[in-house]
Amino acid sequence: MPAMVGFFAALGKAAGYTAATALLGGAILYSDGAISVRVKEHKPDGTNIYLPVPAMLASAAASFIPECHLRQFREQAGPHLPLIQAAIEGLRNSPDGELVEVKNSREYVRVVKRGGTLYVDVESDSEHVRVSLPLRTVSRIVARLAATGPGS
Amino acid sequence: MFTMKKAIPIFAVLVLAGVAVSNFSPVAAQSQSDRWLHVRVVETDEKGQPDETVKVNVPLALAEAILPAIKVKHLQGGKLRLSDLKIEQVDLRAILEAVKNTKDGEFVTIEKKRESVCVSKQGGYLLVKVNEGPEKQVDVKLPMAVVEAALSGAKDEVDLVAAIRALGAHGDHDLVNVKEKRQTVRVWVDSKNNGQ
Repeated sequence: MPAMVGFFAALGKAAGYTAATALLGGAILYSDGAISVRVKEHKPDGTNIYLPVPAMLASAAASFIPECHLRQFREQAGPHLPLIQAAIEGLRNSPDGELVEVKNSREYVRVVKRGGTLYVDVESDSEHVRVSLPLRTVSRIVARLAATGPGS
Repeated sequence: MFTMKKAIPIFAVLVLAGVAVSNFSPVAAQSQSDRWLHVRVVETDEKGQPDETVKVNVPLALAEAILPAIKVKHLQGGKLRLSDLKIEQVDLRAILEAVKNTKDGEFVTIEKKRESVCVSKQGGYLLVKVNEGPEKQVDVKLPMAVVEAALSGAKDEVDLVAAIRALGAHGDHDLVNVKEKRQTVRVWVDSKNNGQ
């Protein structure tokens, strides 16, 4: 009987450590926020997708882009990168608020900056799309893409 | 022991501090980052109902950060080079300089059968009014401080960053109002972050 109690105590401890590790890992992973995409179609059997990608993961994924694609990106976007980076940094340092709103009979578009994140909402007759972009992550990704790679 | 004699100087300091804080006006206290440039375009249908509304709200701090990064032919480092621009042989800077140094009054008045244009300076503002009857009315009201800031650089340059800074230091005001038969455009500066 004492052996049984010991087994369950060890099992409980293991479960506790696993849960704590998972919680801590999740907290670290989402500490920079998340890039998220939500698509909801306005029809009975329509698509309803919610895709949250931890910002830290998205930032790290930029490191795995093949050099040939990076070179192509730098060639095409190179002249505009300082402007893109200035715009992102400017946005990061700007006060929160509504940046763009377009309203007509067909659709409603809204771009809002709130708490370091840019939210884009597009509501049309057929669907609602919401994208959220943490500006710190976007800044890191653009900096990584703009960084001179080996041999370039 | 805390006596009345000791209390009076402390009270005086507190009163003086209160007066100093109350004299520090909200407009002066507002930093450049709190100011927004708003553009609103409203298109109406045949019945006069709003068909499409476009609102763009730009923090002036953002405009100030982005402008120096734009590098196109005539615009470099937030400065517009006039020497490269031949605006129908008009010396824009000379005109602005003349306006800056002239007293209040009307400078240009053009009266046509269906159109009138008036350029004037009044109460620290450069005013441009275009009236094409019910078809189109344009009102531009630019603070002279902004004009002066724009001309603060080299002779052949318009310093847009300095102009934006001056715009931010100015109080809330309308810059451009355009009224057409089915469209209105309003450009203004204030401290609200939603363009209402």
